[in-house]
Amino acid sequence: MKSLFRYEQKDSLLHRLDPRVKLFWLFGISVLSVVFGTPDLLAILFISTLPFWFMLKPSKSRIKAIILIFMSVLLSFTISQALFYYWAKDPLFTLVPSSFPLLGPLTGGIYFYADGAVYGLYQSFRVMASLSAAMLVIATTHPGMLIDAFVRFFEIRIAGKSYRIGIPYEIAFMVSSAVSFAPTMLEESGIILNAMQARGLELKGDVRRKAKALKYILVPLVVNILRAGRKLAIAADTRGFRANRHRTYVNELKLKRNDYIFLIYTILLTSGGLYLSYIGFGGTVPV
Amino acid sequence: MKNIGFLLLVLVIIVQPVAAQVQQEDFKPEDMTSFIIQVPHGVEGNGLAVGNSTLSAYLFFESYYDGNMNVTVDLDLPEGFVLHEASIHSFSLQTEYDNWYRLLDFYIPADMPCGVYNITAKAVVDVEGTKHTIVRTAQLEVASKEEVANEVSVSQLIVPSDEDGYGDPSHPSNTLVVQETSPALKELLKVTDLKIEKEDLTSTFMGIELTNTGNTTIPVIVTYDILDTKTGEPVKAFKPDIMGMSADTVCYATVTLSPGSSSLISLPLYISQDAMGGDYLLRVKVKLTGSDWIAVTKDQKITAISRKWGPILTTFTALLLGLTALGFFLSRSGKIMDRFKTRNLVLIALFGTVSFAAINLPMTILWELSHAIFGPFSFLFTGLFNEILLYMLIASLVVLIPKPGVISLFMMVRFLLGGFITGSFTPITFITLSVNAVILELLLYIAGVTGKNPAPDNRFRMGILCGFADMVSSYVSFSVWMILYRLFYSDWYITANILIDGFLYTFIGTWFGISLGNRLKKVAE
Repeated sequence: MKSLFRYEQKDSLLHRLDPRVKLFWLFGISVLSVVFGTPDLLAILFISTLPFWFMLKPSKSRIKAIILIFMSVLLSFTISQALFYYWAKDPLFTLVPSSFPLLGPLTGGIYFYADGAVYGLYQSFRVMASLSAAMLVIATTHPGMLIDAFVRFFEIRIAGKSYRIGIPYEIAFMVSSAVSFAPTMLEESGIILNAMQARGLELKGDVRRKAKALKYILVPLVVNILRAGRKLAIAADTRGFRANRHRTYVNELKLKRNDYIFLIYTILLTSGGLYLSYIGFGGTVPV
Repeated sequence: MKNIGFLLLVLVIIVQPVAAQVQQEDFKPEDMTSFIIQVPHGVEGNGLAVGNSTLSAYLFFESYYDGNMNVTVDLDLPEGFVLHEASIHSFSLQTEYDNWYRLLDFYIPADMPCGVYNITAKAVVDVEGTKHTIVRTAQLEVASKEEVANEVSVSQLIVPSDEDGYGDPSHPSNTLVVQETSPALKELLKVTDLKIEKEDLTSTFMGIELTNTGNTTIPVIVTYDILDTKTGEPVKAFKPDIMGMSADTVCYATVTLSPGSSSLISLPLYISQDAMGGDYLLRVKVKLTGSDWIAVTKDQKITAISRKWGPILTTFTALLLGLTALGFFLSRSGKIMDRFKTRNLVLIALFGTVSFAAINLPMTILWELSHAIFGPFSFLFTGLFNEILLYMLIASLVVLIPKPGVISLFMMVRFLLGGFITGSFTPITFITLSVNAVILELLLYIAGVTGKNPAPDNRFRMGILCGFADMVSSYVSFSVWMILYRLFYSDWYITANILIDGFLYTFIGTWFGISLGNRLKKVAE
């Protein structure tokens, strides 16, 4: 699972693209996943992301993890809509009969509908399409570059003055600190857990005992984080962090030929999809 | 040459009368004409009527003879029947396939005894001075109303249906979707003195299955009304004027029911913009052709449902709120960020890491697992992470840094972290997190928890505030899922989630969070 969410250093077409272009593509896929209405188009949208996975040639463990993620999304949507799909008819089986004490009268009975499951199945393509695109962006973009893209998403120079649209670099610093601190924190929590168990902390038992155990782990963990955070802040301040608002960057983001081609592809894909939605393939708002 | 021309002329003069004679001698009235009588019109075979009816006898005559013929048609009705016009009609048919038809209206008195009556039509065909007579007889049964009512029935009503009358499984039965304008939008337009451009009428169909259990062909007219359940009056919104005409002129069907058969027909159903959601009574009426008497009535309760404007407006407002908040933050980012020391920023970031590691990561796996195990009650389990743990962290963070903007920064880190690590860069995540941040910020600032003289120690007050904020966020979250991803949730499920996860679990989490925050404060200072 860990490998799924990590940047994979390779030399594919997507790797070479500017992260801002990839973010724009992700935005386009997300918009289309919302506006499309027919199952065919939703499936096509999801399938449109798959060739990039083939280009990426992910490892077997990654493929397994991706399939697991997609299956879990699919299962989640299928189950929820099998239970709640409004237009469903003729339940396959009853989960909670309407005569069941308390829950029956409260819920009016809970039933499993086959047509609801099918509905959930094709609606899951909405999430899978944007999830697939987002995982591709993460797998092919170094976290540092991605943060850079967020900070300098759009930059324009007018009369010698630079105007920038993007998140403040402090946020970028916070996110990169959070990302880099995650493994340390997981390691730390393992150490605390072992230490607490060595001191006689019992993890097995009822919910109350587990909640108590959680408290014993959470408090020292957060205390350690506070201490580490303070050190990190001092280190950042001593290196001139936030000393000057108009800072410079080591990596310059500049669009190249491939970026423009991919940008045109994204614009065509998004505008074509929006047009299809406009002429009747879009999804109406449910009633 | 002159001789040849003369000879040809003589030949033509001699041959023509002979040929005519041959043709006239060959004229067979049954083969060279078609003479049809239908009583009432459209019924092949025996018709059925009740007393006090006005029917039309349909007479049709067609020539298959390549020549002139004069025809006189005489309709002979049984005694007691009243013909509204002349019984005898004369006409000429000039050539092959030339035809003539008439609908002759007649009245059957109310006191006409029941029984089978013969209606005879006689056509006298004059071809070249020779007269041929063709006689056709139709039988009309005059039955009692009880008898007819027992034979005809509406066996099935399918609402809504497709144009052939068959039901559509993707729509709930006995339910109509009305496209009513949002009440809030109506009010807004009234205030701003704007008008809505009326859209075309919405239309659907209803399928009606009619059964004739008798031995006679029964011609019927099928109509319907949609009635107000309280007043019993027809609702105009479901039968609006169509291009200046009353909807009654198009919302009917004429059917001829064969003996011992069932027929499925469809009728159009129009819904105007004025139609309101609610319960109505659909009344289908079957009249015998020619009579105003309603032979069969079938009532069915139907429900008109309107679009759920609550979630639509909520999603739209939440999206606007999220974008406005983001725009506000980006435009004043310098000022906002200057309020926080670097160590504050690092602390928020690290809390983001904890929330991600303790909530998002386990949830990636446990969410589906809990769905599979607990089914619709999985929220009781997932809420332990999503609400109790999350609000423990939020509350303790507010205790440590009681400044406006702290929650927004925390949410932003969560959003970006979730996106960077699990790929959850979705519009739904953006909308729900931004709305959650805005509401929490506003409530905590107004209540004095954050701001110039912060007072974050009151567990009860903060628990209530966070609980309320999360209830709103939960509703927004459900609305966004329903509207953007077209998902359905039962009302009980939404209510239970909002009350238990949204309020109860949040309250508990905040309560413990303040204790945690107070303990951490000592370390932080």
